[in-house]
Amino acid sequence: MDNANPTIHTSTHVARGREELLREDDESAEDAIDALEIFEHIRHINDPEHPNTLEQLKVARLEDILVGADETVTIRFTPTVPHCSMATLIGLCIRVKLLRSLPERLKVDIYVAPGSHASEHAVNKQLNDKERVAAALENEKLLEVVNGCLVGGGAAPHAGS
Amino acid sequence: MASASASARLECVAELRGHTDRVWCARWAPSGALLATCGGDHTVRIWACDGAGAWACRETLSDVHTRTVRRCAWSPSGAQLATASFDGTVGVWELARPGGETECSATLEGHENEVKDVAWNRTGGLLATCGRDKSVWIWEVVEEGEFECASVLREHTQDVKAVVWHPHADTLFSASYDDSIRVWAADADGEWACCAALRAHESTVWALAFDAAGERLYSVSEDRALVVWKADSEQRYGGAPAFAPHARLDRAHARTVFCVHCDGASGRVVTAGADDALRVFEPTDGGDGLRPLAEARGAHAGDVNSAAWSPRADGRLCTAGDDRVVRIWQLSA
Repeated sequence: MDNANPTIHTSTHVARGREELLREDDESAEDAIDALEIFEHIRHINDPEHPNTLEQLKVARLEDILVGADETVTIRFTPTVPHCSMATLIGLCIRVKLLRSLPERLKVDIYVAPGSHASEHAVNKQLNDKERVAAALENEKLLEVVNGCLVGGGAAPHAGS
Repeated sequence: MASASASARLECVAELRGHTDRVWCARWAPSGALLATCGGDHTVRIWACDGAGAWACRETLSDVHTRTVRRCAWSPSGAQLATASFDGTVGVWELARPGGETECSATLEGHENEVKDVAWNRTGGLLATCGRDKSVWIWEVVEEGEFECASVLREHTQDVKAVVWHPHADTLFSASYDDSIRVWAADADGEWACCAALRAHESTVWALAFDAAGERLYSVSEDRALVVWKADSEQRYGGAPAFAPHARLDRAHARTVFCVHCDGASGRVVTAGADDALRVFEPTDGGDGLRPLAEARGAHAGDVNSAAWSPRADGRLCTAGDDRVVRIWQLSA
């Protein structure tokens, strides 16, 4: 796994152009999902604390999304500070957005980028425990906060499809 | 058979549809004629099989739990069903005859939040529950339909995922997000305490199962391994032996393993998990290890959360998945 996080700007223009191509596909078609499509789903998520999107803060980066041949998706996100108390919430927002956007057959693993968080192991373990995620999503207050991060100005054009 | 590849077949013989969300658990009634299932749609469903082998939902129990029903457990007599819910309660249901109405006879409250598993001991006189509050509760049946908390056990440092009683003793085994398995028993004064912590997994232990003799314990984990624990005859915890790791299948599955169950008659072990696969292993000659016997890849269109052998020892299995479906499988040579 590539640990480096080169600061490559993914321009909005390129991402949108690609997305429009994808949109032409019928949702029933077995189109291959790539990192760009995943990124398109999560880049507009609002940060819980800042008036910016995960893309703007470089919390989510295209190069930290890996789509495997066996329908696995691995996403590494980079909290803005190593003690970010919102890391679990950000990860949960990414998970919920993808639960609502991607075909159910895909296996999604979400981690904080290696070395980017003081409680890396604990955050990773919690984000990938489906039982904890399921319980969290039955908590209406928490779900409200998550939904608040998922709507807003930057919502992807075909969100929630 | 020198080859490690599967040599028997798993065929899906029935599909039970009705749940409107992920199915977390499917359990055979002791008679093998009924199934209880529960899941993310907050319901518990009782399914019955007719003489021709067709399954139909007989009852949907939806008026008690307000959140996910994580697991359900039949009492040894099959007269009652206990349900563990994320709403923090445990329901105890008196099973109705066909045409009747199954009613909730008791609601056990005490856990601070999500209850994740519930298990009856071999006599049906004790009930164990566990949950996110890191505790294990032992409940005593004091009178019919009346339960009293005998102990609240707090040794796990993280949430407790599963509880299983030893098949021949009132000794409880619990599996946790803290990567350990703990063993609990009561002393001569009836005081419950932790007797041992078993460590062989590198991550959350999701499920446990015993063989019929109670001499093998199987555990599965997020670390993808299936660990076989062997009884050590020297130490005894409340009538159960102590266990030590004996064999380990490091990559039992390609992703987290969520469930394990052992067939009483054949000793065959079934596992399933987040790689959507169902696998059957059989004890090797001498019973010291396990070898792959059969597998069904894509057993469900999503994680397989539960797998259990029919108590009829007929090679039947039931599975439950994130795809909202319950399936019945037949193992054949």
